[in-house]
Amino acid sequence: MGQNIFQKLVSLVKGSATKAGEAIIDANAITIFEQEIKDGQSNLDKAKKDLTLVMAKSMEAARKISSLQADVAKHEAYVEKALNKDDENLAMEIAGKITEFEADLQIHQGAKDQYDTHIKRLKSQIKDTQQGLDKMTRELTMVKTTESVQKASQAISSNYASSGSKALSAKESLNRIKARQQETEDRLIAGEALRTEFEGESLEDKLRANGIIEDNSGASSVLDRIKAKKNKAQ
Amino acid sequence: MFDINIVRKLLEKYDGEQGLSFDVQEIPGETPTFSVVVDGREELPIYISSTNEEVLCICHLFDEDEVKSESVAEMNQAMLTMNVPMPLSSFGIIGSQYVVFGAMSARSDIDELAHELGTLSGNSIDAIEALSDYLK
Repeated sequence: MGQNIFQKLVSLVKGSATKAGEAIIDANAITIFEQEIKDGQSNLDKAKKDLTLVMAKSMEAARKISSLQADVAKHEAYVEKALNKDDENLAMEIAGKITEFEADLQIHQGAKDQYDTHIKRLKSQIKDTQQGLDKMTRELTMVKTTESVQKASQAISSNYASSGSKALSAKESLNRIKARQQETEDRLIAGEALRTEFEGESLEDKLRANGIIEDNSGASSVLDRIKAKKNKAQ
Repeated sequence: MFDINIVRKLLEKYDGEQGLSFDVQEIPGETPTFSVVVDGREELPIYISSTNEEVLCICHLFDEDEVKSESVAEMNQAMLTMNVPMPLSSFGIIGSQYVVFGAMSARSDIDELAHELGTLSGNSIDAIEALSDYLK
């Protein structure tokens, strides 16, 4: 099968021919590969069909063999009975029949052996073909993935170039993202501080309105304070 | 099979536990591809494309000409070392671009994809930060 996809990639790197978007395997090669897999699959299907056919024939032969064996056994019993009745001629005739059965048996046994050998061969052939096909399918998937990654990355890089994001280096991108993150964080913290302040104030307002907290910032309280001081001094 | 248009709709109105937002844009071309901006990080968009088998999410880190020429080998070594412990994503090179990418089964659900995208976006920032000594 030649080089696998990894070997092809490595030799491309060694030859430093990895220009962006350069096809690693041309579309023609993929078509040929796909055809090979299709052929392999149809060979496999044919081999499986052959196998069922041969297995059916082997089963048929086995049935024939056991029926012939039964016939032999039955006729051997007849021979015994004929001999018990001292009918030598009849026994001879039945024995002749038995040889016919046995000749038949031999033929069918031979056929069955051949079928079974054929079955074994077909099974190992199917296993090998299946393994080969699996490997080819895996490779094809990899080739196609590589191809689609290339196509996607080509589409991506042309989009990348036109979007202007390529103008930024990785470090600049990182700094911008981090600055924005910091800003978001600062804003969150500020928002949080503002929220507690507001909530605190509104609570204080409530407490003041309720008289729980005495209002000592108004002009009247200032006046009261000064008056109190003055009274103390007198 | 992974339907890129359904995924796009799902991502745009995604309201997952991580509270991430996704801004999805389609990229014209023969291969269905779109770019996703995670949480407003428009400088490091993630590109998604898919085959029958897998969904590929790629984030471009930097071009090889941004790497200090004397540091290339050491940085590559560092990236290979970081590759294994890095959650869900791996480093790669496409053309002259260093990328970080994640590949997932085409049978993944939207939560898994959202998780992948969030992780990839975080990994790309962490990676650039970790590798910035090697960059010009």
